Amino acid sequence: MGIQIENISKFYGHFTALRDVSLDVQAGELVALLGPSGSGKTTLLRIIAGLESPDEGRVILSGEDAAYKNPRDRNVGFVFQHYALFRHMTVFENVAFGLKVRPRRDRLPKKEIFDRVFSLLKLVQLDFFAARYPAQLSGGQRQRVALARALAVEPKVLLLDEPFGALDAQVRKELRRWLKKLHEKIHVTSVFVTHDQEEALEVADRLVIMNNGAVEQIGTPEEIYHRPANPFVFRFLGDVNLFHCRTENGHYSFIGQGGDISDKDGSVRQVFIRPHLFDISLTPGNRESIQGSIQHINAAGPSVKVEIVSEWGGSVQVNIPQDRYQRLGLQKGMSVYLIPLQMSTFDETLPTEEQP
Amino acid sequence: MAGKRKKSVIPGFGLTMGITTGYLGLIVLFPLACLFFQTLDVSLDTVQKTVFSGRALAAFGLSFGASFAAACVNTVFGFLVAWVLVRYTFPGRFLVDAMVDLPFALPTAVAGISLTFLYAQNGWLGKFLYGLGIPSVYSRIGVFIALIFIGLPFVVRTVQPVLVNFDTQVEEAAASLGASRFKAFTRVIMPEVLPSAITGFALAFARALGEYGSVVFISGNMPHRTEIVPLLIMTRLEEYDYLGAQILAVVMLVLSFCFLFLINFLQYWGQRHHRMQECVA
Repeated sequence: MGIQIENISKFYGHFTALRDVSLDVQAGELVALLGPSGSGKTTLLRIIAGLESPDEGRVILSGEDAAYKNPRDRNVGFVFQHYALFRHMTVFENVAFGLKVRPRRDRLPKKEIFDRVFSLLKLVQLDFFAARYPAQLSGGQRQRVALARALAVEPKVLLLDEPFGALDAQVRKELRRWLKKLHEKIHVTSVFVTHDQEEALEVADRLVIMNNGAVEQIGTPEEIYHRPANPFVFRFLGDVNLFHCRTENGHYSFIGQGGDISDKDGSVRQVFIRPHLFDISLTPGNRESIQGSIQHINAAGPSVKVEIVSEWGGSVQVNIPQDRYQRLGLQKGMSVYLIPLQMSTFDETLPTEEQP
Repeated sequence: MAGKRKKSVIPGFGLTMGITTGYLGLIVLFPLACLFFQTLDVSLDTVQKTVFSGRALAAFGLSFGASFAAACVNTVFGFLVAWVLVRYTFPGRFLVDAMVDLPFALPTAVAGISLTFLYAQNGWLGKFLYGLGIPSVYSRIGVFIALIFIGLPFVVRTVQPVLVNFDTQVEEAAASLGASRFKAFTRVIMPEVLPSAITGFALAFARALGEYGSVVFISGNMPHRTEIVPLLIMTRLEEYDYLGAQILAVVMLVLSFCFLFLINFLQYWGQRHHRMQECVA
């Protein structure tokens, strides 16, 4: 039931879509492929489904090399971003399709097809819409039909290509929680592609972070969020501020801001600080801090987003709790000091996304 | 406020509707109505004599029969051409694509002459066809060949845009659900393309019914055998039998309208039937 991906590469002319990607998906696991657009995650998913063929490497489904297997023989359920429903068929017909197109000798009797389709429609909470056409459903409902259709053939592996990408924010959140619950109920080995880190962190058992056709890091959501392997992963998982820091005898001091480090004497490091890992103070205090003035305040939301122009002229994003904001009485134009609560550094020898 | 007329969201209904009906009336309805009314005072006896003469009946039979057969052939091969043009990239594709429209643009007489040369007993293709015992010119087969030639673009041009807009992911979905290529084609692609293919069929059929120029060269115009209705009408005119020509024209008009109406209805009904079937299953 598991998927082994071994050293897969895929080229389109001179463009490398995937470079030596290996990945092990355990049976019953829900894995997210996360990366920016063009990172090769959808190509990898399509290769698993057999909709594309790899130029190098192999895909092993349930211990069997799938190289010469057609998509229709792989027993893989695929859910497309834009649903790809059969629009001339009702919801019922869509879900029943995979069962009805089987060769006569392994086709289920009509009654069993009917029962199976209805139990799936109940599972996706659409049994009342069985007689409707896709055009009569909302986006979220259509995607649930697509999911039921994929599950109808009892796939060994379920693949979802940005399943919630075309839906609005509210429905997205609802559906991804529902997907998580559904997966806990039916435990089919699943791989889903997304560019939304929040979605991936919330739904997946494990994450695969991809960039430029290669895997940057594989791990549980917790591992990836708290111990990102490199600057790319760090930056991809959320907003981040970049600084330059000089370290001497365990002491550090901020000397600049931004991605590129001009001073290369070996003691300067790149420092990553998330917006919510700053405290704002009105006085310098005795800890290392960054001076700046408030340019913009957005107090709508669970935390207050403050944009600050640092002493080096760059912009710094800071999120502080509402009560802290009230107590400080922050105003636009005020001069403040930023105290980092937690910083991350990576050795400069590690690859960053700026390097080719 | 209370006295204000209700306004439609899309403006200009009155104006555009007025122009549309006026234009259609002037260009299409008025001439046809004139033709129709001029024959109203003709006695039934004359009509019967003109229409139910052996020669006229044979012409009607050939016109509708050959047009129908040619439209059927064009639907199958036009679909194939559209499929190849949309689905595959090959060198010269744009050339082939442009070539499809040639039968539209060519003066029909030119088409008739070249087809006659080609299919004549000593022509390049005729040599082989006559060898096989198929008389490809001055016969009903010749009429059929000419009508295939002029009707081809219609099906290609109606089916092509539908195939272009067809979401290939739907096919991929069918494949991942275990459908064979054949089943994906018949159950997923065909239902999407069929309405446009029927439209193309209707257009090719209508075009073939009205065709004159190319057929007169290749058919040989033998009364009772290879004479089509438009030619019979011309013959009547040349004989100064204006009334006879008019009667034949009106009958042609009514029959054509009935056929086109029937095809449109079939298309509509086909889609509905399809839908109902899905609901019941």
